Amino acid sequence: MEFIGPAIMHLFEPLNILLMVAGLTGGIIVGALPGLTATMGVALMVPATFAMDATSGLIMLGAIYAGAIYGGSNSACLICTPGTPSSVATTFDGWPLCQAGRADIGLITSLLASVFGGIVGTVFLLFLAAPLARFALQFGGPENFWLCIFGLSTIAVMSSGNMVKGLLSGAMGLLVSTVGIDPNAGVPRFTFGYYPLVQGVEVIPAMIGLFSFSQVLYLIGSYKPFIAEYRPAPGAFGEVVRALAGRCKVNLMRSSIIGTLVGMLPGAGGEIASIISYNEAKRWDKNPERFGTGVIEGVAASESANNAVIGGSLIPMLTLGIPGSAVAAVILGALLAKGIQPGFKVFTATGDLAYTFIMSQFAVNLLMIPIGLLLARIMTKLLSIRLTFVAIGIVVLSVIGSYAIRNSMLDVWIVIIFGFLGYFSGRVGLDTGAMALGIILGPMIEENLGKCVHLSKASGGSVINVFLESPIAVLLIVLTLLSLATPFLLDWKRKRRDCGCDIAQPKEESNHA
Amino acid sequence: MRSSVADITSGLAVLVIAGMFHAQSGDLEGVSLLFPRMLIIFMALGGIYLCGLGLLKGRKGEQAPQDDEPVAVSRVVMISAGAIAYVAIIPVLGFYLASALYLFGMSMVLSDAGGSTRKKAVASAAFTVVLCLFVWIGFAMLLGVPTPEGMLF
Repeated sequence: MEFIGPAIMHLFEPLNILLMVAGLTGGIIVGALPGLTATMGVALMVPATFAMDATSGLIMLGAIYAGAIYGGSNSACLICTPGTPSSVATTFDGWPLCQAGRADIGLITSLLASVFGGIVGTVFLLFLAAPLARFALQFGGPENFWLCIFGLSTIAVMSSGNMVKGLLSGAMGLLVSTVGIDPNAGVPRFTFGYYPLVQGVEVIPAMIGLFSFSQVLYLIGSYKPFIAEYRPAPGAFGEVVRALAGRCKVNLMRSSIIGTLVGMLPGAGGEIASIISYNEAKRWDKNPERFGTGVIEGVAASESANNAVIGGSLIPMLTLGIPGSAVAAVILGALLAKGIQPGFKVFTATGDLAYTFIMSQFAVNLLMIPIGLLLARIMTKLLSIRLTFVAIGIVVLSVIGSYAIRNSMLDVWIVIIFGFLGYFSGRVGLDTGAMALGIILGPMIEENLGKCVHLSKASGGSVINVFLESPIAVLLIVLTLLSLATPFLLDWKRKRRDCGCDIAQPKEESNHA
Repeated sequence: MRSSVADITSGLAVLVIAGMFHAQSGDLEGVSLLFPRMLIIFMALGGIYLCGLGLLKGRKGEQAPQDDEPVAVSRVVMISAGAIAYVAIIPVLGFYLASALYLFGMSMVLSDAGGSTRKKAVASAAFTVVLCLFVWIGFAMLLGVPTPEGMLF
């Protein structure tokens, strides 16, 4: 407690306020641009922090991180293009809201849900860092494998209309993720005689292609003059606040906890957390068929989870020196460069710095409301530009965004190829969301499957034994099975309800008679 | 597209992709092959199922359209061809010149706003300059993001 008071005082220093505002604004803009990720935004600003004291530098990096993760939802809602991979699930309901002329509802929901998720993640970081860090250490190959399979089981719920096509789309994504060097044996695979493919298919260009370039083709192919009609609704902010504080409060809390827990696990980031949370929100909803048609609940689940990941990913970074995400790794690098050694002692030996950083995350999330609202209002102007100009502009931004990831023209071609694949898939009813999920989760699934195979060989048993020996893995298996059974249970429930209606109707008719 | 045609087309596409990866998996063995092989088998079975389902639907006469929205095919073809040409000329002309040509050319060809050609050209040129400046200032100057360089520029 001795550090918290001075930490709060640090936040009121004019320089720190300025850095939080600048970091948030820059982060939101970087996050909203397809291809530019939170990792890139934070990494670009690390050299600038060398000129500042460690506390101010960390505050700015934390602000960029939070801003960029939230910023990805702006393009997800407005042009169906996730600005960062963690906003993929936001497109499922954010884009339909925009198409229905309710872009402001989508943007305000994503903003407030992000703020809520960010604050919950920070509360966990402040009060439960040590026990949660120990829990994260329990995750090895089998647990991570089943966590990814649990994430993948979302496909069953996501594509309940045509599960076969959903599963095949997911398998296609997984297969695409095997291109390049095998993570277990180090062998190059599926390069099709084109050597640069040894680098593999990078997730972000594939996402830009599947969601952004394919969307350009859809929009240009439609006869619409603008992306979507935009009717700013008076009182939208109040409407969203009432919805989030009322019917969405459990959803928000559940998604934020999922985000924090997933964020703690090295390798699992916002993309997995938001997809799992979306899946859970849909499973627990009384009317799951509304999901994907533009409901606040879908946007709230995805966005609260991906921003809660921030607090979660900082837990193992600060307490164990193990970053929970790529951005946390960059921040860890900045800490080490300043001579600060992470570990449990960080809260005592450099408690002033650690608690100022944690408290700044609260301040950053609160500041995000006015800054996010202002930027969202500016970004909605995009909807009043003629569609042709927006579409052509997206192609140019997609090219520069994808090139910036590895300075490779291969990534630009990946955007084009996956754009065509996404467009074609949409025409024939294959699910691009499931494909994206496969590409995101594929490398982690294969790597952890390989670990399990090696573990089973080392112990002389079978892989099944390895899968079942940990209680966490068993719990994840049960959750996966429940998730897979959900569409069948929902179908059964719907049929029973319909049956009930059919039986009830003649009675009513006889009463009228 | 008819539901039966969509099923057959998607089934064939899945089979083609599975076949392409299967053809490339000749030299692989052990743990490197385990995961891809599982996926290839799953996709092959799923592709056959979808083709069969499509044929069955076609025979039964279930031809409910999946998507009634009309598509401006010529515009889709034009922006696709334009995007391929744009990416192909970047290594020759460099990012900014190729982008300027692409932006101006595509906005002239695809612009659906009424008015004379001169008006269209002025609007396209203004759009090209504004976007190129935005990209240059935002990406190159402020963020220091590298852009592809060309052989000529």
